[in-house]
Amino acid sequence: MGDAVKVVNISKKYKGVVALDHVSLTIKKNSIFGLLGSNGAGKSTLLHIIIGLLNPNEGDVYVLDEKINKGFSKNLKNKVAIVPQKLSLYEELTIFENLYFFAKSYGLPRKEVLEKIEGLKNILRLGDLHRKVKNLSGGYQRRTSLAVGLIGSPEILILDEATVGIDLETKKIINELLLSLKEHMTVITTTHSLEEAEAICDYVYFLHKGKKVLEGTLQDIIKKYSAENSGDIHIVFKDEEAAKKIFDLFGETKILRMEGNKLYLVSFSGQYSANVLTNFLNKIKGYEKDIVDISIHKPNLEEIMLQLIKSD
Amino acid sequence: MFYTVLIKEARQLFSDKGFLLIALIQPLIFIVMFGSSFKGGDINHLDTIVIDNDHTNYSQYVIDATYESEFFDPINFSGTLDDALIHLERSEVRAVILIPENFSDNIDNAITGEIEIYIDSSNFLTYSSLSGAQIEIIKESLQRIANDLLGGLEEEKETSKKKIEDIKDIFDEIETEADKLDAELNDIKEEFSGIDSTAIKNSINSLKDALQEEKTSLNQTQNALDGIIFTLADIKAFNQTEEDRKLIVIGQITAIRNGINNSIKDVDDTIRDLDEIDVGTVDAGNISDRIDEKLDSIKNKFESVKEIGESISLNLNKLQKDFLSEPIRIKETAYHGEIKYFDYLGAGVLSLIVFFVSLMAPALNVIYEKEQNTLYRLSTTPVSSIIVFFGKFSVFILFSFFEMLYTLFVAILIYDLRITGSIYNVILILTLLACASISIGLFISSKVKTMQQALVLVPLIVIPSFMISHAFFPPDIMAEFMNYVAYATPMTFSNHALNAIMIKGFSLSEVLPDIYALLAFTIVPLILFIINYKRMRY
Repeated sequence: MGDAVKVVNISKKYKGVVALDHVSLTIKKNSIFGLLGSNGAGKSTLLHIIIGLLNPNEGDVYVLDEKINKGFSKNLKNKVAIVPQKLSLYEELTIFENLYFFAKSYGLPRKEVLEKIEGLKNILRLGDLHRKVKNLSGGYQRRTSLAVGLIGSPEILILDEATVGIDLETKKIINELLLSLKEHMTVITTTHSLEEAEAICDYVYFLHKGKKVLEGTLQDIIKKYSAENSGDIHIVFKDEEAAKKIFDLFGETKILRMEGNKLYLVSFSGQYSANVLTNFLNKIKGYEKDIVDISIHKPNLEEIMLQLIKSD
Repeated sequence: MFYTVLIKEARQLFSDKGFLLIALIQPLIFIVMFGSSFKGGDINHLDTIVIDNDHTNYSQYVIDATYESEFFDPINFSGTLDDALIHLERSEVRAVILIPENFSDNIDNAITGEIEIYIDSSNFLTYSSLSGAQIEIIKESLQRIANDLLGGLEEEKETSKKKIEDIKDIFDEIETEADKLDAELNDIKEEFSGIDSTAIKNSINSLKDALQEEKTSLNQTQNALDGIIFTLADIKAFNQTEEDRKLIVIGQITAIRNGINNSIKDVDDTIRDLDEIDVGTVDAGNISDRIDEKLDSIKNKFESVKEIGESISLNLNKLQKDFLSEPIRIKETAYHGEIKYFDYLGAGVLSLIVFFVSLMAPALNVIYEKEQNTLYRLSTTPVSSIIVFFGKFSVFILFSFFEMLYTLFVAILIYDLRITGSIYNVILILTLLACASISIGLFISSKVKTMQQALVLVPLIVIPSFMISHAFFPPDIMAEFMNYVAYATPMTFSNHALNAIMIKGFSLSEVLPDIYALLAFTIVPLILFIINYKRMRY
């Protein structure tokens, strides 16, 4: 079994400005791949090169082992579906008409089309299919857009910032659906929402100014950066006075930060975290009754990214 | 706040660089197109074929007048009338002037010289220009022929008058001589009563001498009348009426001449009678009575000659006035029949409606799809760009076809639009124009980025197309380069074909070049659209 997508040493320039600088990546089949980065990082350029809408200045792209040259072949168009950032639906038509039209564009027979529409209606909770798209709320419009992307049962589903600005319920439905789809298809999602990437992505690729700054599985990244970088221990006291007592024990060490009845043990690293933690635990002996909760807050993807961008 | 709103609106309006560029160019293109379509302001110097089958001074006068006219622009041509009419049929020339073989002969024979002019009536404006006061200008120019004729006739008139005056003088002399003869005869009668025969003989001899003189005068008169008859025979009548009148006059003068001839015979008879007189047995009274009788006869004839001479003068005057009133006539033929202005504009208006609607609708549709991003999404599905094109094309052709049909029938049923040829051919040409317009609309939509750009670009194409497509301004008055620019719009070809079918009654085979052009205007943008569609970005 080959890779879903393989990008080899891609570079792209726009009017002398480097949009992508020797980018290489591999997307495994049946995974959810997150292409991350802030606005202008080069995500859309890379995506458009992958789907053949843009030609790179150098480098090669393979999708389902097929080399991309001036756009997708009909074979690939049958296997890859894109859900654009913009709604991209016929707003004067109903949900059903949109789904039916795009389903027929894949050459599906009517019976199969109707079955698929019914299935997607239930999964995405689309409600009345005979409502015009222009009359739908933003959440339903997004669900319809995703349904259109899924109607052809693609092997690869590309979501180009497709879940930006949607309500929590829709986001939950979509995320659940994507996670369930992983067994049958590869999902590539571009987003600048690291929270969303954390929620669904198996593997992330972080672009910044056209260059890769980070890639790997979420677990590996968190593990690596939890071990190598700072983390916090959050201690909640029963009241502010109790918290102040402990805070004063550490004087000018500045390893603690106090906010109301909470103390934060900040900036411990792998090299000295054991000493700090041991020292901290020794000092709070006898005050256990004042402590309501102790939790270790590991760095999330967003914090890691911010650190990486800052260091860049 | 007003200032803030103003700035915001301005920034929003001018942020679309494509729109700004088109909007700024638009007025310039409009004024150049409009100005160049009105090259000279007037409809003149229209290509004309002049066929001279007469080859005389008179026909040359006609040709000279045509060259001098600002409305006609004679071109080199050496063919028959049928050849010329083929050019007229194709509107390659606007008029054919034929000077027939018998043109000058007719004038010389006092028959109105008729020139034939065939005018292309398929173009209302050029037809009107050539068919009104302009023809009168030619008539005025041709007056030089009439002037020639007038000069000759005046001379003839004066000569005839002089001869008639001479006749009158001769008549007066004859009358005087007759009076003298009468007096002498009275003297003879008196002398017979007592004068001897010698004296009588002398008197008779004297009388004979007098009669010889009379005879000489009568011979002179006869010769003068022969001269008048000869002159009148030379005067050319200008029509049958005048010819008849001239023959009457000649007949009258001939009658006088014959009368005088009879008078000469009478004088001869008298002289013979005098020779036969036996002086010894002469009956003076009898001789006198016979001489009186003959003299009275001569006098009566003289009187009738005078009357006829006066009528000759009158008839000559009449002859001159009637002939000069219409020496030359122009027979005008509207080659494709009389047309109304609406008939002429009909082709252009129908083309405009079909062109505008068929171009605007698909252009805006695709741009809307681009703005909605649905076209991009569709481009990622297995549907081929050719299917997308033909899907859109088919819907818009049906839409345009319906619009075209009801527009056409409203024009025919309510406004009596003239359709000389087949209405099915008209529908076919308009359908081809709709196809071309849709293709162009789709192509435009693949190039422009926003609805705003399309809304300024479409009028930029449609309005100049109407102006330069010969629908409104005939090609004859447009600047030469504009006639080449006109080939850049399918409307030029549809107008040409529709005009040929609707006004001239042409069949499809006669407008094949236009059909091919319309097909090219369909196919080329179609290919460009499909190529652009494949390259479309979102």
